[in-house]
Amino acid sequence: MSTTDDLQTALDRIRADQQGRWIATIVGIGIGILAATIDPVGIVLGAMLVALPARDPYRGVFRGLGFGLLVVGLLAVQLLLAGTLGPAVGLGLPFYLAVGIGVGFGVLGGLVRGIV
Amino acid sequence: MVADRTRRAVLGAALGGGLAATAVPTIRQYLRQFAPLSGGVWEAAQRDIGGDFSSPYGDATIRKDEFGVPHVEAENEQALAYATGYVHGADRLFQMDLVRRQMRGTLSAVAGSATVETDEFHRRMDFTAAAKATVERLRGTETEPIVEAYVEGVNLARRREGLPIEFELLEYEPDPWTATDVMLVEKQIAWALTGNFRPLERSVVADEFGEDTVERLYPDRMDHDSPILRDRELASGSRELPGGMAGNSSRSSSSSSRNLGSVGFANHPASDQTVNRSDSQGSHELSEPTESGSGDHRVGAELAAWCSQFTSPDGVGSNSWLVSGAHTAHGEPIVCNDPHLTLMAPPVWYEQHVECPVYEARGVAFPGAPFVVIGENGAGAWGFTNVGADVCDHYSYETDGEGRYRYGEEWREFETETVTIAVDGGSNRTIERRKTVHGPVVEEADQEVAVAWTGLAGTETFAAVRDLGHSEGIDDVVSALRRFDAPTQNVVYADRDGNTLYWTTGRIPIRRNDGANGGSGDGEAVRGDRIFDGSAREGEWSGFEPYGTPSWEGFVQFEDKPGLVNPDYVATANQRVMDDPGFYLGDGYAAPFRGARAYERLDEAVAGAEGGGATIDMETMADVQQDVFDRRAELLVSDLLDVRSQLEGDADALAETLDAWDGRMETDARGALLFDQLLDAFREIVFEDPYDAAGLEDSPLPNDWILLTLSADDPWFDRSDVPAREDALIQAAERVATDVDEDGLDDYGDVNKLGIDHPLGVGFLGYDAARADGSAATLKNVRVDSDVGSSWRMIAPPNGDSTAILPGGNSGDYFSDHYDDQLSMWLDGEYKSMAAVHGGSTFATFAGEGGGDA
Repeated sequence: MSTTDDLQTALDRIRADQQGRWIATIVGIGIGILAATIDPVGIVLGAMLVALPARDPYRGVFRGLGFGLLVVGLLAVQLLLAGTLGPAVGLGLPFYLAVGIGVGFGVLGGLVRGIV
Repeated sequence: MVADRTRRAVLGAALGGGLAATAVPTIRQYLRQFAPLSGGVWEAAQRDIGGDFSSPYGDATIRKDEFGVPHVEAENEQALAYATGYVHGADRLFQMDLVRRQMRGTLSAVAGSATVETDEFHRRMDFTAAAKATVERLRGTETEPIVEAYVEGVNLARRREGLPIEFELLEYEPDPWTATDVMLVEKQIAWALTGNFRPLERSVVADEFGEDTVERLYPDRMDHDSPILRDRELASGSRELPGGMAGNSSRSSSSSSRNLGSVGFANHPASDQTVNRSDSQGSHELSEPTESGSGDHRVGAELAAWCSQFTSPDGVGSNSWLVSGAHTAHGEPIVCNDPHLTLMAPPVWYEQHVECPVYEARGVAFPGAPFVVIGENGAGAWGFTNVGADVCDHYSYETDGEGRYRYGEEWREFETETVTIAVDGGSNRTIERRKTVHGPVVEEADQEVAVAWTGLAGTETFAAVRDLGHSEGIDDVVSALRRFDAPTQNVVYADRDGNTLYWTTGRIPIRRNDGANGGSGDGEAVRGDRIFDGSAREGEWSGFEPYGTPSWEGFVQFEDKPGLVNPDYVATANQRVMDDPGFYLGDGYAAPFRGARAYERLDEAVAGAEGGGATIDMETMADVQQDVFDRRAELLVSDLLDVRSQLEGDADALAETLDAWDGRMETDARGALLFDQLLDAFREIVFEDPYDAAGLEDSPLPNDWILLTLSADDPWFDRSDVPAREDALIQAAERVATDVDEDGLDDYGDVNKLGIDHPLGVGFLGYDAARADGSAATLKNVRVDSDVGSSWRMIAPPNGDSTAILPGGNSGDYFSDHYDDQLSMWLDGEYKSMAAVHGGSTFATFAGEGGGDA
C-alpha cells in the first residue's frame, strides 16, 4: 500500500468519526492560525487543514470559509484590543481587502476537500 | 468516476492557480501589506509606543496631554534632547524620512520612477553637502551635543517602536537618523521659503511679451501703502538695539555695507533715533548689471519650467503681528503668528513642551530637529514670517564644449561628480553633477544655470533657534537673531518685561560686478532679480563659498536690516518690508491684501482702545486671525458695479448680489461664491488665456494685485488677444452668471473644499475634505487649489495664557487618536491652551544609565 493510500485511509477514518473530525479541526485551526501569522498563504493552509476532515466537499468549502472568517475575526479582535479597529475600518479599501483575502483564501483552501 | 476525476482536476487547477497567483509580485505585495494577521499594515495598527527606557544622558519623562502634545521634562538639556528625539521618532518618523529623502534625492529608491526628476534636482543642488557643512559649522558649539543626543533618541524610537503604516505600504525600513539629516530639515524649510527661479521665469515671459511688460506685470514694488514698517510704526519704535549698538551707524563705514545706498528712513519722524544709515560713499542708486553679451545664456522655457517644479507653490507665506502692552487689556504685549505652509497629513509642525533646568519652551518644532522654532518660553514669545528677500541668484556661462566655463579671464573646469539615482522597480539613472564657483548647475533640455543660494553653506540657524529657546529677554533674542542666517525671516517678539521687537533676519547678499572679489568692476551693489553673466563675474557675492563656511562680511549687517525695537504694533504678511530699506532686499513680496487687512484691523482695535473702547485681548487677536474679509473684493466688485449699466439678466443679478455682499469669504455666502468665480474668470480672460496662447502655460501669472489694479490704459489691454478691461469684466460676469447655475453651485462652500492630502498621495491617509472659510487673500488663510494655509495658529502673550491650533493633529500615526483631532477645531476657528504644564499621562520614562531596558 502506498503512502497516498495510507493518508487517504487515515482521512477516511477521521471523517467517519465525529470525535476525530473535531480533534483534526482544532489541530488544523491551531496550525493554520500560526501559519497565517507568518505568511498570507498560511490562511490557505489553515483552510485546507480544517476542510480535509469534512464529510463531503461542500462542507469542506464551508469549513474553509469559516476558517477565513475566523482569521478576519481574530484581526478585528487584535485591532479592537489595540484600540485601532475604528481607524482600521476607516481605511476603507485596505480593510475590505483584508476581509476579502481572508474569505477568498479560506474558500480557496476549502476546495482541497473536493480533491482529496 | 470520470466526473469525479474531472471535478478533482478542476478543483486542483483552481487551488493550484490560486496559490500560484500569490507568487505574482504585485499580488504578493498586497498580501504582505494587507493579509489579515500577517499584513504589515495591521502590524502598524498595533504599534504600542512608549514605555520605560534607559538613557545615556540622564533622567527624563514624557507625558502626553489630551491632544497628544508631549510634555518633556529632563534633568539636563541632552537628556531632554534624547527624549525629544524619541518622541519625534515615535510620532513622525515617516514624515522625517520623507523630508530627508527629498532633500538627499533618494525618494526614487523607495517610490520608483515617479520621483526621479525630483531626485535629480535635489542631487544636482547637493543639499546634503550643505547639511554636512552645517554639521561642521556647529561642531564644537553648545548645539552639537544637543543634536547628537536628539539623533540618538530618534534612533531609539526607530529601533524599538515598530514602523508606521507608510513604511509598510512602501515596504522599506528607514536608515538611522543622523546629524546631517537634522540639518537637512533646516535646508528643506529654508529652500521652501527662499529658493526660487524667478529670474528664469520672468526671462521666459520677457522673451514673449517684452521686458517693459514684465516690469509692469511683475514689479518688484507694488504700489500700496501698507508695508510692514509704515510711518506710524517707524515713529513708534527705536533702532537702538539692546547692547548699545544702534541700528546701522556703527557699521555704516564697514566694507560690507558700502554702496548700499541710503537707509535714511526719510519719512521717519524720529529720524534722530535711526541715525544715518547711508554709507560714507553716498551712493543712493543701485546699478543695473551690464548686459551679458559675452555670456552664453543657455536659459529657456524648458529649464525655467523644470526648475520651478521644485520651488514652493505660490502663496507660501505667513501672518504675524504683535501689539504692545500699552493697548492690551492685561497690559502685556501679545504675539500672534500663523505660518502659511503646505497643509498636509500630518501637519508640517509638531507641537511640544520641553523643560530642563536651563530652559523651558513650548511651541512647534519641525519633526527631525529638536528645537522649538515658533513659540514661547517663560520670558517671551516669538513668531516668524517670510520676508520675500532675494537670497538666490542664477548665473549662466560661456562654455567651451570641453567641460570648462569662462570665469573672468580664465577657463575653469566644472567640478564634476557622477551620481547614481537608485530607482525602485526601474533602471537607475546616472547623472553628472557639476558645480561652478558660484554654486551647483541645474540643467534641462541643454539649458543650464548655476544657483547661488544662502542656504547652500554651513549655517547657524538651528543654533540661533536653540538660543531663542534659552533666551531670557530681548537682549538674548537679539543676540540669537544675529546668528540666524537662512531663511530670511520677519521676527516678531515680545517679552514679559513689556518689550517688543520686530527685526528681519537672515543672510542677505550684496551683489557686485566682480569688484568685491578683486576684479576690475566698479564694485557697486547690484540688484539680484536677473540672470547674471557668470563668465563676466556679474552679481558676485563675497564672503561666501558654496558648501563652505560663510562670513557676514559681504552680507547686509544685522544692524542695517529693517527692524524696530519696542514698536507699538507691527503686522507682517509677507508684504514689502518698508519703502526704502536702502539696499536691494527682494523681489518676492506678496500682494498686500493680507498685510493691509491686518493693519486695518489692528488700527481699528488700537484706536478703539485709545478712545476708551474695548481694549485688545486674546479674543480680539483670535478675531483678527480668523478674519475672512477679502480686500480683493473691494477692488473687483467696485469695478464691476462701475459697468453694471452694461450688464443684463443673470449677470446683472450677479452684480446685485455682489453689491449686497459684505466681502467675507464664508462658506454659506453666495456672494463669496460669485466673487471667487468672477475673479477666476477675470484672471482667465486677462492673463491665463493670453499666456496659454503664447505657450506660457508653465509661467506664473501676475498676482491678483496686478490683475485688479492694472490700469485700463495699460498697453496689456491693447493686445489683440486681450479684451479691453471693461469688456473683460463684463465677459467674466456673464460667464460666471451662466456657469454657477449650470454647475449647480449655491454657495462658497461648494467650491472652497479643503482636502488635505498625505504626501504619499494615498487617499485613505489624507484628511476628509471639508468646507472651509477664507481664501488666498484673507487673514484666515486657505488655498484649496494648492493645499496651502495656516499651518499653526498661535496667540501668545508672555504670561502663560497662550493658545494655538494645528491643521490636523500632533501624531503622524494614522491609527492614533491624535492624527486629526485638531482639524475640526482648526476649521471652526477654535484654539487650545499652550499652557506650560506637564499634564497628561506618562508616555515614556528615561532613566539615566543603569535603569530601564533600552
